[in-house]
Amino acid sequence: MFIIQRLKSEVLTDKSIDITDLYGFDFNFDQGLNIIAGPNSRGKTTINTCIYYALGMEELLGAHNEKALDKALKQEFVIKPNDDEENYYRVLSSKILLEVKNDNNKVVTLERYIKSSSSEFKTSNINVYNGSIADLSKEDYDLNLEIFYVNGEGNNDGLNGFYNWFSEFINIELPEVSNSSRTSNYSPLYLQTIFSALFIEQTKGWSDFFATMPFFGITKAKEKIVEFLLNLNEIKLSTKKDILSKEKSFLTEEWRKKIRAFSYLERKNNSTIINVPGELTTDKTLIEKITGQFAVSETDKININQFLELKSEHVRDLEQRPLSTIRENREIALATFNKEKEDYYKLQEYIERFENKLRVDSQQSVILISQLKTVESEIKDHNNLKKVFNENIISERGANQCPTCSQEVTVDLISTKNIKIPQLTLEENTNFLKGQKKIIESSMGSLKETLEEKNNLLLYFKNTLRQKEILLKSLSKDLISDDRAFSESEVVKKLQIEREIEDVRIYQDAIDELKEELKVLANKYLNNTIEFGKLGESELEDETKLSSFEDKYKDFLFNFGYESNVRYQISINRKEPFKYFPVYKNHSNDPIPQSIRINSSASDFVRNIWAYTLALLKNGENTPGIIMFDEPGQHRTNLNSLKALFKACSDISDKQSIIFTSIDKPLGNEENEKIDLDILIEDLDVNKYKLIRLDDTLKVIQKLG
Amino acid sequence: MISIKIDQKPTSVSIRYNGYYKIVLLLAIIKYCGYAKKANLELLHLVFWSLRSDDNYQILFDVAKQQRNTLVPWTFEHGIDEVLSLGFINSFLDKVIVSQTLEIKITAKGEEIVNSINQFELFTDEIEKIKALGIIPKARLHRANNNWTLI
Repeated sequence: MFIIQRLKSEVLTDKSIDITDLYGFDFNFDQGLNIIAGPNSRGKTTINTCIYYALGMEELLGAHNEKALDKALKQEFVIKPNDDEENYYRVLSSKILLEVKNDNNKVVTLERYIKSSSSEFKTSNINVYNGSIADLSKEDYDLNLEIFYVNGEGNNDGLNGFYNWFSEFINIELPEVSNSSRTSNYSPLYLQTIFSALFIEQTKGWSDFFATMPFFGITKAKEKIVEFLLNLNEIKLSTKKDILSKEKSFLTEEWRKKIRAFSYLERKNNSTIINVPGELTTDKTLIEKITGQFAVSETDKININQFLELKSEHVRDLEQRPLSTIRENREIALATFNKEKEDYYKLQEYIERFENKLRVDSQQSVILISQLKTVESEIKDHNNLKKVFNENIISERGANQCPTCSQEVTVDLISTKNIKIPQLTLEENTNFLKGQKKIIESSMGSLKETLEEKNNLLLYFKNTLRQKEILLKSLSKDLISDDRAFSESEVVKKLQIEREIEDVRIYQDAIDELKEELKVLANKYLNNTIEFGKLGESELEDETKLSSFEDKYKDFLFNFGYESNVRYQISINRKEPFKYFPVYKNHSNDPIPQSIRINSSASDFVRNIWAYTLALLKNGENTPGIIMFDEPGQHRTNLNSLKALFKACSDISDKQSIIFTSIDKPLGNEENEKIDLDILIEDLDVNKYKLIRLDDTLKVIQKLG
Repeated sequence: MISIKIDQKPTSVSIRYNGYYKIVLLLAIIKYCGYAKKANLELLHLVFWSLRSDDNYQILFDVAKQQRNTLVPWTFEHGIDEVLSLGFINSFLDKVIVSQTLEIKITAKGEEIVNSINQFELFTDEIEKIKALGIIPKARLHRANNNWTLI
């Protein structure tokens, strides 16, 4: 937290006798409520913008550096000693001094030039002096100066960045938030965005919550600011949530792969595997239930053990029986032959289709390989060309103007005179291509896996086909040979059944192995769910903070005379849309919350911003401890509301509020009220506010004493 | 008021449309494939065409090594005019007339660049290919060009 103690502007003019003959203004501020009151166009806004400027917050006013300030401090101002006389002064150099104090009672003075006579003092820098403004003019002051820059990269996280220094000074740790404008995808929650919740500017500030926030590419910036100011766990958790949900989707993907492996096993063994949980589960018994089944007839299915038993019996049966001759076997042999032949053709047809599909996949893989090659050579050439420029073999900014006709020759061979195609730079394009490469590689990886699986399956199918062929051959041999000979097909059959038994055993092992792997995944998933659960507890903490914030906000709001809706219809929304912002609900279970702005009168919306900002100040654990309102008397609000606002501000005595207000200005409401300062402050405890009354006739810039 | 801001989104463009990339290759082609470090436009276009794919390259390579005396339909290289202009402006290249045809000659400054490129081992794939083609006599190329086959 910090408070502003003193604001001083120093202007050296063309009429100054020497360098000590300065103009400007000088005000002291107190903790608690500060009121700066005066008639229109006396310079309230000048003072206001000077505070923005000295704190490097001029971006909230919509401009960079001194452009945010009006001309009185950078070009020319006028002093009217009396009604008939007007003296014009030209500004030679000017600067703002702002004395601030932090929690640890450390006092520093921020100095920022508006117009400087030497290039040494840039308007984009803020000079920080150790000590108060009064200390600076002491003779024995030991010049203790640090210079920080306001604009440019790293102003929020660089060592010499002003906001970085300032946030440290006011004891605020700027959190990392996701940012779409940054290549790293993360940036600090810039201090300027936070101040848009504290400093409400006159023209734009009353139009919406945090209306003056500059755009920096922070995702859901307004939400982040509220999360930060109220010190909600959510802001820290969002990154953790990110990691956990990534892990979860990885586990889901792995699970899916394993489940796919089951169907591969099924096909390979001509059986069905039942009780496979489709979704990721932590239930061990569900995994245990997975088992294979074999169909013995159209309706009956038996499990693996039963199947093994059946087959073994069959083998035993064949072994015990003396080898039969063909004659005894002829009828059966003919029937089996026909059936086996049918099966054989079916399988053959299936294999053919399967092979065709596989060929398409292989072709895809070939295409991917050639694409990868192209991308790789592009990346290589990009790097080479970058090196050509870096080593200065060819200058990137070489001549490209025809010496004869002085026409420009483009190095961009794709654009023409009429069509310009915006292109990525070498560096950006290299990164883009690297991303492409990754995508191709990952699809190649998964394609390779499927190809391997399918090739194995094909091998198995072909093997089965071969077995059937052997059986068919021996059957046909049996059918044409001498009736007295022994049946060959029976021997072949026995051998094949034995092989089948062996295969089923391997199949059983494979299922068991997969089950074990599923259990490992289930364990990981359990850990993941527990971690997610822990996040829920912190969410509960957040909820406590939010509901206390909500109560505070509503107290303020109705205290300020909000009339558009009744209390129960207004709430702070916990979810999208308008997350953390007030919404209007027709009844408490209304599923569609509506914007508070649309559902409030213009003056009631201004009351909303008062209440919301004050509630953030009061309840915000991370608040910088200051708010600033420029002309809160907007949109025909009435005097009683303003009075309540002043009272509320003066009650928050451990923080600082600065209110700029016009006086004698008609509020334009039905009662034809004017802003009457005496009425506004009549209820305030004299010790609880500081009034800075601007002169009724003179402007704020005067000769400094 | 809603203010809508539209950003132009730059696209990824192949390095083959970068003038500097082409000028490097152009210099290498003149140095390694041109007789007396001079090359006519026919040669330049053909070598650039051959660098586009392995199939194209094999055809020109065979012509250069007298394995074949025909060419398949080929195309001009896009943007050679700009690249040549850049070369002249930066005096990497020079124009000379040899037996009434325009030929492009590489200057000392241009050769310096190729040498540096080699020294830093940049664009090795392309330059190795160009070197392997070697000097292709004008007459042989011209004969092949008058004799197109489909494959």
